[in-house]
Formats: sequence, C-alpha cells, structure tokens
Amino acid sequence: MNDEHELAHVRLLDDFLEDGEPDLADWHAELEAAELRVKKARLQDIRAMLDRDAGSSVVSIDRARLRAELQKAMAAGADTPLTLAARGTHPEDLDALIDDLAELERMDADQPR
Amino acid sequence: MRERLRALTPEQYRDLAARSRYLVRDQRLLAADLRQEALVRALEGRRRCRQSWDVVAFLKGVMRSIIGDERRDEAEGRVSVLRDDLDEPVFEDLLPVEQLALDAIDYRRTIASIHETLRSDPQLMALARAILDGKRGEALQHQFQVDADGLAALRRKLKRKLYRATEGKSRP
Repeated sequence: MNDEHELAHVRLLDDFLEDGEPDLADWHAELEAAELRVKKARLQDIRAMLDRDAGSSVVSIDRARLRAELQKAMAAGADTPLTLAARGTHPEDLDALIDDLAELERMDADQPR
Repeated sequence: MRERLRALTPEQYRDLAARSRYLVRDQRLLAADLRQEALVRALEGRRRCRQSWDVVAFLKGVMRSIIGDERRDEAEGRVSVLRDDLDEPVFEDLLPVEQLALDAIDYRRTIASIHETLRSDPQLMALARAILDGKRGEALQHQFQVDADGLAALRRKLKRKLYRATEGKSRP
C-alpha cells in the first residue's frame, strides 16, 4: 500500500468518525480524555522524581528534603494533589512512598560494601 | 484554562472540529487526535492562552503549529512553517514567537496499526473494513443491522477504541 493509498484510507476512516453533528457531549469527552492524559503525565513526573531520589546511594533520604521537592512539584502543577486523588493516591500514600524509600536506603546502607 | 475550555458553545466546538478536519486533510492523523494533542498542550501550559485571547482561535493556532511540524518532518528536514489558513490575522499578531515553536506528535495512523488496534474486536474490525470499502450511512446500517442511533453507537465505540491506542504516545 503506497502512501497515497494509505492516506486515502485514513481519511475515509476519519470521515466516518467525524460524521454527524458534533455536540457538547463529544467535546466534554475529548476534554476529559485530555485532562486524564495530563494528570497521568504529572503523576509519572512525581514517580520519576521519587525513583530518582530512591536511586541515590550517596545522599541520605532526607524526609524534609523529599517532601520539599514533592511540594515544589505540586506547586509547579497546581492540580497535582487533585491528580493524585484522581489516581487513587492519597496524601497518606505519599508518606508511605517516602517511608518505602527511606526503608530501602536503610537496607542498602546495611549491605556490606 | 479548564473552565474556559469547558465553556465552549456547540457552535465553537463545531468550528474547532471543522478546522481540525481541514488541517488533517493531507495527514495520517485523525482530527480528534489533533484536537486532543492541542488540548493536552493547553492544559499542561506548554501553550498559554491569555485571558484576552479567543480560546478557539488559540486552539486553532496550536493545532496549526502541530501540523506544521508534521509537514516539516515529512519534508525530511526541510524547515517550513506552513501557513495554510491565515484567516486569523489578529491571533497571528498576538501569538508570541515562543508560542509558534513547532511541535510534533508521534501517533500517525496507518491502516496496519488501526487493524492491530481493532484485532480483538471482530465487529469493529468488520466496521473498519466496510468503511475502507467506501460504505457509509445506510449501507453500513444495512450491513450491521442497526438504525441511525445504532450506527452512532458503533461510531462512538470505534472512536474510543482508536483513541485509547494513542495513550502515552504524545511526546514533549
């Protein structure tokens, strides 16, 4: 299938998908899908930040520092607390995450070098 | 931003949808993919819309920027800012240079990828094949033994299936 043929087929399919009179229910569904995508991306950012800190074997887990970083991330994305809640993550879960990281570091420190 | 987007009127949405269809006319993208990417960038703040701007014109500008980059990619490195719908001169004047930075999305559609997405659902696969055979409206209703509402339901089901296939595929 050459590019032109491929394009023609994609356009045929899109014509069907876009057929009919668009209404606000369609718009709200698109908006909610985009909001969910943004929320997921923010949650991934937070998890990556936690993982990054968890991977550090040089600097001790400092709960205050980690919490400050989380708060900074939340400040950067005003919806982050809501994001976490929407994803089923409560503030207590953040504490649990920090606890897990601290525990991992303690275990790592106990390992013979 | 969210409130402004949520407050769109049906007419504004129709306008936005029509523009997205126009912009993807020569692209292997679905119009809703383009709208979705523009929405994500607006909600993330990667594209900022001033309070004084018309939000629909703003989204059209974001979509145009995205398509511009798609075309640039297809031109194999030849940088070209395509201006194919310059009916928003005021918006063009207002949009800061940094807002015109071109973006790309990586979920171009291929028939093979669409088939792969639909493989687990024989009904949707058959629907896609019928559409690609050129069937529309009553011919589809007849083939799938549904009325107009039933066909609309099938359309929504197909949309959901196809759009979910792009989750996680946008790139910054």
